[in-house]
Formats: sequence, C-alpha cells, structure tokens
Amino acid sequence: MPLKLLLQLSWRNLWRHRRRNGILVLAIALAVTGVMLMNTLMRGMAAGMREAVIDNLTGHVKVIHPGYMADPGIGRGFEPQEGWEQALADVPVAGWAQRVRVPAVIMSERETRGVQLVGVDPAQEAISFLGSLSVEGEALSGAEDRRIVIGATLAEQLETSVGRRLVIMTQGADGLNREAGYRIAGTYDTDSNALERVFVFTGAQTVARLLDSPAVTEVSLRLESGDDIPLALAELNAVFEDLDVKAWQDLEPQVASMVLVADFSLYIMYFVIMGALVFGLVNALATAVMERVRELGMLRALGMRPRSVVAQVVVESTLVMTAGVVAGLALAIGCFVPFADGIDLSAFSETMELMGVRNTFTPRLEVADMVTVFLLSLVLGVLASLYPARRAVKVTPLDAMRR
Amino acid sequence: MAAADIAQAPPVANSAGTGSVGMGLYMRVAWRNLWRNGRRTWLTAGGIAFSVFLCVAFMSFQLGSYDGMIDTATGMMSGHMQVQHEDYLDDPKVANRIVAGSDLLRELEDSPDIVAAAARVEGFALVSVGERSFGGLVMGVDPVREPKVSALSGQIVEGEYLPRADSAYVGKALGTNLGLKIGDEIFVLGSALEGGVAAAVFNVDGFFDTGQVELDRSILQVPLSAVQSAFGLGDSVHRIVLMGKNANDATAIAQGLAPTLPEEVRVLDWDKLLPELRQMIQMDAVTSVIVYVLLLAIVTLSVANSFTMTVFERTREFGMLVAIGMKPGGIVAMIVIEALCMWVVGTAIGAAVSYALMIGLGAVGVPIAGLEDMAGQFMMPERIHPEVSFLTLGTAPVVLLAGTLVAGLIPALRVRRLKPVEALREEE
Repeated sequence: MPLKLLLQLSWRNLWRHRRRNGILVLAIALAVTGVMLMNTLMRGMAAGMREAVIDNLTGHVKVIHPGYMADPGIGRGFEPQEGWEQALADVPVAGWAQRVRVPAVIMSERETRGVQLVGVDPAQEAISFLGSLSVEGEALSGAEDRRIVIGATLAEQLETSVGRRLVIMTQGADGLNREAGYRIAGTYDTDSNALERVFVFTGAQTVARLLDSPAVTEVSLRLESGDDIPLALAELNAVFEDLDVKAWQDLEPQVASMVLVADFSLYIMYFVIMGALVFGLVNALATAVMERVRELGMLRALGMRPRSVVAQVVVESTLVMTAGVVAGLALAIGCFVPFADGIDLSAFSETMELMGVRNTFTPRLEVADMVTVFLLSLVLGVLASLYPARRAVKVTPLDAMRR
Repeated sequence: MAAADIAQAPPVANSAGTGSVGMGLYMRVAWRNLWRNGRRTWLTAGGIAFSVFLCVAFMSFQLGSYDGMIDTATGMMSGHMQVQHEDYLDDPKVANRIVAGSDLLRELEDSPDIVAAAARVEGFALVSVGERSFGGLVMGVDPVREPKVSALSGQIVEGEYLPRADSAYVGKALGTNLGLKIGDEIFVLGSALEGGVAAAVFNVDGFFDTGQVELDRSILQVPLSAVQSAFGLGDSVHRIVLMGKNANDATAIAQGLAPTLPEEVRVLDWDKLLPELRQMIQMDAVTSVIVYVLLLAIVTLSVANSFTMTVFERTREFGMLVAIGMKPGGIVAMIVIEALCMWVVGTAIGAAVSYALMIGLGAVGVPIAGLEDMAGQFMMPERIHPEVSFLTLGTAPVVLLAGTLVAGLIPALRVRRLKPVEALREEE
C-alpha cells in the first residue's frame, strides 16, 4: 500500500475519535513537558557544578606531582621547563596558570586559622574565578606583589581588615617552618563562603621567596571546550613525563559523578513517566482496532494485505505519539524561555554551596536531549502498537461478517 | 451483545421497574460491566498498578534515605542538638564560650528527653611534630561521653581512643602529612582565651579515617581538660552536644530546653547546625513531588480516556436502560462504581507487589553500591532502609482513588443529557 494512502487512512481514523485521541495527545504532551523541564534543571545543575569546579582553580586539566594529593606541600612541587606550552600548539587552550599552593596557618592578633596559601601571577588568572573577582581594596598587581588578598569571611573571622597585617606560617622546601608578615591589599567576596575561608592569594614570587623554592605545585589549563580534554591530556603527558596530568573529573570525582547522574536521570524519568503512559496508549489503540473489526474484515476480504493492516496501526500510534511529543517539546521550550537567563536560588544557598553551584541557577535545554526524547518516543510508539496490530491482523473476513 | 449481558442479570429488569435499585446490585452490575471488556480493564488497571508501584517504591526509598542521611549526618559530629554560646555558631572563637560548662552538662544529662550529652572545647591551633607543622582544629572531648554522641571514635583505624590524659586521636590524612606514627609526641600551639599563647604536648595514641579527606586532614581530638587548661578556659566549654531518642524530635526537645538555659546560651537543633542538610532534603523533595504529580496525572488521564471510550460505546445500552425506567443518576452511579472497581483491581496489584517489596527491603536495607564517593560527600548512609509508613504506602492509592473517581464521573455525567430515542437508534 502506498505510504500516502496509509497516512491518509490513519489520519482519518484518528480524527474519528477526536476526544479520545485528544486526551492521549494531552497526556503525552504533559509527560514530555515534565520530563524535559526536569531535565533542564538537572542539566543546569550539572553544568553549574562543572563550571564552578573548573573556575575554582581546577581548570579542565591540571598537572601536579604524583604525591601532591596525599601530601600537599612545596615538597611535592616541580619546575616546568621553559616553553612547555609550545607542546599545546594543536590544542585550543583558553589559558593556563602556574601556581604554588600550600597549606598554611594564618594568624591575626586575635585568631588563628588554617588556609591554603596560593601564589599566583594575576595576569594568568583570567582562567579562574580570580579573574572576575570583586575585591574590596586592591587586587594583586603582579606575581611580585608582596601583599595578600583574603576572603571577606576569613577577614571577619580573623577580626582584621584591609591595610592591616597578618602572619602566615607554612613549611618551606626544606621541611622547616617559615613565617612572615603580609599586609592585606584587599578582601574578596564570592557566592561561596567556603572559598572565602580557604584561599589566601599573593604573588607567586612572594610565595617562592617565603618557601625558598622556585617550584610550582600545579599548572592548570582551561581549554576552549571540554571536548578537547583527551587531546590535552595526551599532549601534556608527553611533556610532563614524571608528573600526573589529570582531568577535572579525576580531581573532583564527586562532581563528575553528579554530572553522570544528570545524564542518567533523563532516561530514568522518561521511562518512569512514559511507562505509565504506554498503558493508556495501548488501550486506545486496541479499542480503535476492535471497533473496526467489520471494517478491517471487509478490507481484508477486498484483498488488503496483513502487512498493510499492521502498518496502519503502527502509523496511527506513531502519529499520536509524534503529535504529543511535538506539543510537549514546544510547551517545554515555552516554559523554559522565561527562565533561560537564570533562576535566583539564594534561598537554597547552603546546599548550592555544598554542591559547588552558584546562587543564580541557569537551567539548560539541550537540543541533543530533545532529539533523544523524540526518538525514544517514536520507538515507544511503535512498541506500543505491536499488541493492537497483532489483534488487527487476527481479524479475518469471516469474523467480521459474523458481527 | 451488551444488551444480552444485561438481560442475563434478571434482577436489573425487576428492580429497575420498581425504581429502587439496591447498592449490592449496582456493585454486581458494575463489576460485570467491567469484565465485558477484559482487555481494556486490565490495561487501565495495569496503568494504575504500575504507577502505584512506582510511587510507593520511590517515596519509600526517598523518605528512607532522608532518615538515613539525617542519622548519618547528625551522628558524625554535630549530634541532634547543641547548646552553645549565642554567638558561637556564627563566630566560632574561643571567647564565645559557656562558662560553668560542667554544671550545665549535668543538668542537661538529667533531662528526661536527653539520651546522651557530651561537652566539647574547640580551638584552632598549629600542630607540629619535629620541624613539620600543620594547622588543625583541636577538639577537647570527654573520652567517656563523646562516643555516645559522635561516630568519630568508631572510625578508628589504628591504636586506641584517648586512653590517657595526654592522648591525641588524629585524622589519618593529618597523620600522613605530618609523618606521624603511634606513640609520637605532637605540639599544639594556638591563641588562648586572654590573647596569650596556648601550648600543650600530646601523645598520638590513635588514628581515625572517616573517608572525608578534608575532615581527616583538619581535626584532632584530645581530652577535654587538657584543652581547657591550655586555652585558659577553666570550666568553660564551647559546645554541649545532645542526643535525643530520635533526630525528628530534636526541634521539640530544643524548644523545651530553651527556657531552662542560662543567659547568652542557646540550644540549636540539627536543622540550624546543618542547614545544608535540610535544604538538600527540601530541594530533593520538591523535584520528586513534580515526578509524582506527573505520574499520577498521566494515569488519571488514561483512566479518563478509558471511561470516555466505555461510555461512548455504550450509548445504546444506556438509552435502553433509561427507556425501561432507570434514572440517569443511577447510570452515573453505576459508572462511578465501575471506576471504583477499576481502582480496587489496579491498586490491589500495585500495592501488593510494592508493599511486599518495601517491607522486605525496609527490614534488610539496600546497599548503595558504586556511589561511595557521593555517599561521603552528601552524608548518605551505606544502606538505605525504605521507609514503610502511612505516607509512603498510602499517598499514591489515595490520590489515585480521587483521580479515578473524577475520571469516571466526568464522562458519566454526559449520560444525563442522553435522549433515549436517539440513543437507541445509534449503531451498535
């Protein structure tokens, strides 16, 4: 049977029961909208977490000493050879930064706290949250700046302020304790109090002088796109032979597993909700077949092939499904657009902080996910039509005439 | 065919004539009508069963995991409640203390709602051994009382838990960073109460490993009195950690305790001590409610669809019933009872399977394999025990009961507009 005739027949059959099929399309649309909107939230959450860890001094890829994770300190530092970055000519890199990052104790006249002392070259830090930091007072002027910038929360805890001095104590390259006083150039404020409590920044050369070592503890790279991570890993491994080159997924496995959960949840949500829907779809299709026993029997008597009968039911099912999915996707886009720029979630700030996400939350509607939902629905539509189609094929001209 | 079925039920003909039909009869007729199209009934009831099963299973797991999370998180360090100086939570400095801590501790221990209580003193200090040093939180605890309010003593991997007055119980990661082994001497240096230097020497007698590196790298526990004297605190303490019988009672107990406390001292329940925990639960609950609402709405729609088809097909039959004297209201009642029966069949299946499964799993618990990383980070317990309660088992059936009745009623109301003559003329 030509496809055009098949479509025409199916279309008219559906139109014969507007109310019933209307309810079906509505239910499918509702299900698809719900699944897609939940998915935009999950995707947004995952992307937010990923961006946050990449910003928080991790970058896409980091080079560290193999022992640094277990025993962070300048003893686990290294000196990158001059011109190492030329090895990355083939990789689209957004930027890189060399840092010295060591645990330290910071003391004011009144309080003592444990922090991470990070020596940076501000010119390289456009790749991290440092690049876009809002600083009260002054930011660091360069790698040789001898002042420090601390978090606003830490400043409060230490009962100190811009312009005053703090003492920093840490272990030098020889394992001996070093201590020195530094003036506070400025205090920074971020969405995350945890960051503010932990990171104390100063010029890279200042830390080198304190620790008595020219070594750095990490080289962090931000790529143009996360898709280039494997390429960057391969190139960097060739340059830094004795060191660990790690992607952010290895450095922050918890966040990476959350991103995976988001991928996974689309399918779980889809099958849970669409599973409930399939019962209704099969029901309506089977009813439509049983109502048409006479008609189908006559068509068979006139010479319609069983194949065409099956095709007709499958096409009907697919048409209903397509109509529902298209309406659902359109509705989801409609609901998404007003929130595309972000939702203020400061009410949940502590959790967001725990999960490493910022206060404004940007949902993400991904075309790939919409395509996935659409294709899954087509498959489901065909599967749902199998049982009704089998019933339809079983109708013989004799059955029909007995009615 | 439909008319023949009805005719086989003689009581209908008889009582319809008298105009009063008993409830039992309605039930019987509705039940038979339901099975005139067994396939449709099974499919619709199957949809109900499917969604009852999913809702019950999801809700049990979800609420079960919340309880597990709360127990794990509060049991680690914070306890169900804490009594603190009113400024200590926001500004945990040595001076924000509870003076005369031991008297208050004894008073609180005597309170009937409190199962266990322990006092702590905390101060940030430089921990050094030889030439190496690290910053850490020195926590003075009561070696006897502390294990009753915190799981930390149970996370021991080597040595003993504070056997002597100068023992230290150190995080494994901190020990590694400082190159410590059992028996080593460590020096602790911090800022004392009056701005002076707090210094003390301890012997490493045990190591703990919680799996959370940040915690293992930053904490050491030592006996309470040693920290009190080193920091010049006398009898003062910073926290009195309290455990009730159940974490869920914490808020009520805290409210009861509040008026009995001295000035400048307040009691905080875990809600305030671990705000991120409550928010995480709320956020998770909101997103799951969306799923439940969707699932139940979709099943209700599919039941409605099923009854729309049923009512449409039986126009002729209804016309006949009205023609022989049955009131349209009676037909509406019959359809609604059919919907009710549909609900009974679907819910019975869904509930039987899910209740058996949840009660069984609730008893043994389900290990969360492969997610240990996340479990540590998000304060999840190692096993989830699905919660078996009226809320988890009852919500889906009750909501669907309402949904099914509405789904049956709306198409049934069309019957009131039925004109018997036209209906009888309709093609079967």
